Amino acid sequence: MARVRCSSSTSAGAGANDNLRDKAIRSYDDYRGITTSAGLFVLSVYAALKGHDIPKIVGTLPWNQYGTSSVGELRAHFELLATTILDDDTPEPVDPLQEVHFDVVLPVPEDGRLAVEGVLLDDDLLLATIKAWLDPHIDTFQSLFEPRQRRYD
Amino acid sequence: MHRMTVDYTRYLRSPVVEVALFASERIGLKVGDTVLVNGEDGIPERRATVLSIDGGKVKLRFIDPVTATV
Repeated sequence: MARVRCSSSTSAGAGANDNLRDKAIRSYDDYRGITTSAGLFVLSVYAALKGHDIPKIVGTLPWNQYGTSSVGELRAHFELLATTILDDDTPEPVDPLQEVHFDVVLPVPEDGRLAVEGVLLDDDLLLATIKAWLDPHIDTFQSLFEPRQRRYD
Repeated sequence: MHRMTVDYTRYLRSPVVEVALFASERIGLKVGDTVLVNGEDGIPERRATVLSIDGGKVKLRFIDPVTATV
């Protein structure tokens, strides 16, 4: 089973990784209560399943670059959660993809401060610590989706 | 002008979006401000108006439509 991930970054490299990392941090509080941890650091992927093949997924999402990986490769490094984005504002063309949306869960460090909702948006020192913690995991995640491909290649 | 990043996985074509901003990104930001939303691969930079600020969560309304090729 193949998975596809559509890039949310303009290119591969350090700037793209910072963008992915910050997105994972910004959504941390949205995942409170989903597992036993206070929140989760996650990155979205879409699975080529249920009639959604890679060209269809890539054609539906807006990004020009994408990469693919396999479930086995991802699970060797990260936990996967089947999740649906519940939001009235979710755009119609993306909505059918929700049935094949998965979150790749990045490790969460042991830090009691993370129990406080919103702390990552208010505590610059903790934010810097978490960024440093996540950076190597983001690098691993990105490496699993190399080489990058162009949508219209 | 403040600059911010939207999670387009969730909000692709929605005219109203919510973003989580770090403390340093919220300094001086107030309701009614016009902000720039970073462009991404395939999505142009856009302007938006701040509708509300609730702690670190900020709601925006885009001024210009999405023109990305989809």
